[in-house]
Amino acid sequence: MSDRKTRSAVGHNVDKVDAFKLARGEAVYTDDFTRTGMLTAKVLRSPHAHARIVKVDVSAAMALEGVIDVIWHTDVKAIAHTRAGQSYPEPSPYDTVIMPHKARFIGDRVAVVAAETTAIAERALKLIEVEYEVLPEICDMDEALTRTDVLVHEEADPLGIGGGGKSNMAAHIDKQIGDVDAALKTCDLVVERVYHLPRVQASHIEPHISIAWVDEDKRLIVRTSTQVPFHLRRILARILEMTESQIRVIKPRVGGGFGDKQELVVEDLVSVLALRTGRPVRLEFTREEEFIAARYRHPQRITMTTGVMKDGTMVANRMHVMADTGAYGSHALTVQGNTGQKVMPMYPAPNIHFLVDCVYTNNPISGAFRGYGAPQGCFALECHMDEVAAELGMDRLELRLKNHIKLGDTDPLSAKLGEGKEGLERVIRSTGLDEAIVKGCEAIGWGQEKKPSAPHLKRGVGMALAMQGSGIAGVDWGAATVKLNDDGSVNLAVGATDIGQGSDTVLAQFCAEELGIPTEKVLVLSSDTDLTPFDVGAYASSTTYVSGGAVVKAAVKVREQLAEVLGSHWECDPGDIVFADSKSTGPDGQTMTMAEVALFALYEAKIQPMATASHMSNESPPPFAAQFADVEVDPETGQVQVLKFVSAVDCGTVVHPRMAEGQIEGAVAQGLGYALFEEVLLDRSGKVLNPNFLDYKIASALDVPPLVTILVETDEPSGPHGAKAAGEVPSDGPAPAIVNAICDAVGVRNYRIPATPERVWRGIKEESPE
Amino acid sequence: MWELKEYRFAASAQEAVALMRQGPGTGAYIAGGTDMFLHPAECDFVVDINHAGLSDIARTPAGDLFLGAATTLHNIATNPLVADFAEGMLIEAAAHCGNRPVRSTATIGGNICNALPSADMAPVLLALDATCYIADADSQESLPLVDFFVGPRATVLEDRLLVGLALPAEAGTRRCASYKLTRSAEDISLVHVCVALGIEDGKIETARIALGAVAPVPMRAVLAEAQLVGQSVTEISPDLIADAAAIAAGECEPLDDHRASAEYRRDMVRVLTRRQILRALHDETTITKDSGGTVA
Repeated sequence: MSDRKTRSAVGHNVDKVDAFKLARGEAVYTDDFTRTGMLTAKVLRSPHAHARIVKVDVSAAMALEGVIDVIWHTDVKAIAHTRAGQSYPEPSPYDTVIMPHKARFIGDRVAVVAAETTAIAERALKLIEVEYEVLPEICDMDEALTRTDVLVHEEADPLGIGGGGKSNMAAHIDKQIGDVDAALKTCDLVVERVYHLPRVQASHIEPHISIAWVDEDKRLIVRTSTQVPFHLRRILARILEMTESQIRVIKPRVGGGFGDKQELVVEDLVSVLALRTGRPVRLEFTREEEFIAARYRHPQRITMTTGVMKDGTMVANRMHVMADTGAYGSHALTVQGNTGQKVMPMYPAPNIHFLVDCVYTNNPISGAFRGYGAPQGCFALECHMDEVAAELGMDRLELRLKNHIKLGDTDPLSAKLGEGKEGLERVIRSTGLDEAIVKGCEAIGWGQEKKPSAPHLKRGVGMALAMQGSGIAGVDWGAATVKLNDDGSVNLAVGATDIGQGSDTVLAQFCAEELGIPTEKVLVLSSDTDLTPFDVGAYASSTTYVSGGAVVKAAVKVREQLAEVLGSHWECDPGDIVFADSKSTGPDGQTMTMAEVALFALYEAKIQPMATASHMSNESPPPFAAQFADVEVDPETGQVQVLKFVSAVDCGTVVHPRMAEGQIEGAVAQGLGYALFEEVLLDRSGKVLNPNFLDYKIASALDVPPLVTILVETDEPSGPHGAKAAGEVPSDGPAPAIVNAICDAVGVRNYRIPATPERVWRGIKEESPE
Repeated sequence: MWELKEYRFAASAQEAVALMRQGPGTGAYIAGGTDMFLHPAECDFVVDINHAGLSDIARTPAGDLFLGAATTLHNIATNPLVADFAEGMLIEAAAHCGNRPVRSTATIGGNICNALPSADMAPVLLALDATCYIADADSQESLPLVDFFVGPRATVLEDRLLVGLALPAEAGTRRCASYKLTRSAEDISLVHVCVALGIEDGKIETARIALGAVAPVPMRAVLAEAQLVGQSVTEISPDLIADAAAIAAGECEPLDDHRASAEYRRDMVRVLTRRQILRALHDETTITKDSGGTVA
């Protein structure tokens, strides 16, 4: 393994491969495309949280000129499936059908119209008459857990449904190492606290959008904004009773996903309508639909019970997660599993107990969202560390340093908890956590006295540590194909899914590195189920680490093929040929440019230098982050201003420093919103009260403070060129770091986020009544 | 989706009113259109007033300020004729309304005529004694802004057109301070407090305390204002200011909604009114800087 100085592509800020076309507005997204005769689809959504759909009268809608088709549950075969875009067999319950017989939340699908224009489709929705049998709803998660007289899912044999159709339990986990109850009795101090996490929306710029049509070979083509094209093809084939060979899924440029597109959200509807009408069909969510019918980060209530000795040694740690999956169980088991599995190993106490109760309710649907459960768990654990330190009278940094996971340690949970099955053991083989803590402390000025900028304000600092994974060990895999062209350029075809995070560039860098060519000579194609090899898709922080491994292998194979060709031409050992600076050099100083090599291979040797390789890892090395907030609080109004935010992140070898920084900065902006103002509000019947950006606030440029982002490089033995993941870990720490800083400033803790001005004000008021 | 049958352009205020009354069906005036696209009016046609000569900003020789109804918030925020008026309180308010793209098209008339309790320009204009000019088919009348609002999203206009707002020269010399409390930087207000104090011979001659987002309409806290009138600028006691602020908190009628509770809003009226009075009196020792929000 070479270091950065000797690498030509990896570790350098090469031009992002799609940057110029994106900046010029020339990049092609799903909707930058049309087909003759394309119809628009619109969904009629349930106004009831829980109601049987007895009859739908579509006659008036069908009579409207320009309406081509209207479907409801009698028109579509009910094949139970999960919309979660996960590897087969999915660890999410098969609790969903294309058109349900029972609406399970306000916004559930009732009917779908395909019409010549959006205006006609919207008019047609108003003409559809629906007879509902309204059922009692259950929107409170505690009520959902205890009541069995109201069941969100009462299907007789619902494959994989946690409660087995007899309760509202969607997923339950109970894993223990050691004996926490017994150990707590031996501790000098036991601290128990409850933390509340809100329902938040990913708020990607590009909404969910798909276009489907049937081509001249009678194949279904689905062009869609997705993170998981291959999972989509598999799920569509099953629920449409087609074969994968009859379906092609194309992923063009994607304007953000954050997990919300690791899911089949609209693709089945455009497919059904295209197959029925024979016309191309387009369906795009409005922003309101994103808030009602896409997916949320699971709201959770987390109870932490921690036992420590006087010297700060953590002896026992219990996390009990109560979560609301809403009407369907997409990612219910695995997101909640991650809440503990990705978070608790930070402090590997000898006794650990992780409990999950995740229930169905008649609320809108929760699902995957960047961090995948870890931001919730990290908030609880990292706030709790401050609480434990305060009770112990110990410095909060010292408590963390004493207990955090170190090089060579075994992650206590990963063997117990895989993706819905036993996992694989994880030993920490690279960590920059201590260096990240030191550098982060220095950047924030930890331990220095900080004066508020005005006498009526209070100032405080807070920190949080986080770890995540790099792909799902033993599950995630991807493949890459590398093909050399006449001019020395290569085509790199990957199933890996660039959704704006920049994976096309990172993968091109790996390819360029192995072949000794500049990155701009690598033409990346991602992703198309007809043209690119398989990849699980963009999730679980897998692409750089897992798909990157496939690209390295494929490029090495091509390099070896070229060495073979040149070895016989130059009559030397192929192993003695060096590929660098766009040329190959033999042991006796023979040299050919890459273009000359390509021409020689294609026209003299008459071979196509080309290889496909697959890669899977039985490890999921954690990237680490140490994050710090410096805040000012106005105790009279409860307003919080973050003055500075520091992230020090170990993501192994940094493949593209500027893009890694961008990932981290974006995660901090998202985490800042989570900490301070993002919250989807529901009324008692699960109706969303703020389904727009006027009422649901995300951070804008004006909200984001000066950011200090420090990349701590390590060399991960199992990663391509030593790389680990970067995309999710920095989204875990901002909320706890900010809330810990607020508590440091005013002495009052927000156990519930977002820490809105009113919540901070109320906390202070209750602490010190006048 | 907004299904509009006809888009009409008016070349003058009078023509706009005539086009509005021409039918068939119902119509609505449109200028920037930012609120209208958010809440599409159930109407058959719109009358565009962007070319009706209502986009001017003018100062009279005496110093009165006139703002045409179709003037964009960005123009107000950047116009030199407005910059020194009322210690810059107008441009502050305009510059923190929505965000830059919104301000480029949203107009002051639209902000006022939509009559949201939280309308960003309303408290500032109330604190500066704005007069509304309203066009009928062949006449024009004027009316104090304080009488313009009749309820949430309701004004005295009916099918008449607001052509502009006038602010007296005297208001432009007042000592002013305002604060818009929000959740994030680009947000509508949870509570908006504007204070304008006319000073003569070292005494508060005129006091205006205007509040947004804490009552069915943008309002003035007249009882609190009365506390301040006649007080010496240098000898006014902090207790009296705190009392005035508490009175203002008693005068407002906030609601609980998903943005904030009535209890919180009322207490913020108290806190922010006290601070703005102090700031207007240039008492930088007591409150030197507000944090978090947008209008410092």
